[in-house]
Amino acid sequence: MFAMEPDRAGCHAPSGCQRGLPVDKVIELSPAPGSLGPGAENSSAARGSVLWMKMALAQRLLNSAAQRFWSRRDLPQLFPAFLRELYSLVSCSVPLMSAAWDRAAELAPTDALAAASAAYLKQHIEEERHHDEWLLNDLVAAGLDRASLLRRAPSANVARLVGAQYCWIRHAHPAALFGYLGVIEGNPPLAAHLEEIRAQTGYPAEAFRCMHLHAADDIAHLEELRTTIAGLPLTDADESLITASAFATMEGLICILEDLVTRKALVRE
Amino acid sequence: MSDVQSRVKKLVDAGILQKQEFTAEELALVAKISDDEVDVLIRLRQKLGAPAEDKQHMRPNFFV
Repeated sequence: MFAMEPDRAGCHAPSGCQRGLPVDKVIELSPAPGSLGPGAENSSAARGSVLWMKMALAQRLLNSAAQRFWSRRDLPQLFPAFLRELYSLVSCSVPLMSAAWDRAAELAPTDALAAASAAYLKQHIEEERHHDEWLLNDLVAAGLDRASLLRRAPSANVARLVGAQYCWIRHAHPAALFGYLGVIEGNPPLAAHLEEIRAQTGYPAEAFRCMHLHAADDIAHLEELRTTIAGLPLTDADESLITASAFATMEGLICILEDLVTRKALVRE
Repeated sequence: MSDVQSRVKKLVDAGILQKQEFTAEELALVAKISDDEVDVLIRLRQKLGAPAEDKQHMRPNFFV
């Protein structure tokens, strides 16, 4: 087993992302079974395993930043700002995936990777559609103002995170988005942690409905994504592009969490 | 020391990978991490520090 930091949540789980497994059992580093046999180093499954491992490394680092954020004593004061950033990010998701799908569909007739990307994105866009509206309703239930949430432009951090993806989609390859999706969807919320946050912040259960849905729902999304990535016809350059996207996403999300703390401190001064 | 061994050592020294014993399959995976990618991981690990063992259930809680 490819061991990293000891993970009490069970990240060293045996191979297999099956629906019904707890979320904390599906993030793993092991190569897909049979993907790295003799002469298989450049097969799609082997490349998919390498990508998945890099994303898992990124997720672990992102989780270190998350631990620091969610352990803060002033979390109740930080939480509304986190929700606003989350809403911004989620409301950007379907338009971003649609842009990637448009470009992938355009390239698909002569590009097998674009064709595979388009097929995945078309289905995934439908699965994610309206989640921003669900989240908005939860935030209103938590006491945030609907009109101001709708009026608010994405922060510079969200714009940098999402904007990088638009750049790669347009100027490199739409498959870059798999790095973004792998880091975010490959590391979904855990129900127990959401309950801790609810207890610590005092926000009503209604504020967490959409987050809980993703804690459960993203197991299936994770399985779909891993299967898709393992089957992508990737070159070395594609793999590097998707890794760059994954690492930029990791750094962007860390930046969002850190800036929430920094901005609150500046407001106090 | 080969490039693969050097990358493994760097990642282990940085606390990103914990065990130094790897199967051939696992080394084949590490060999695919570029030096630039290793550097990004190490830079962030140094900045963020070690994860807390009693907080492994904490996630960023972002989703698409």
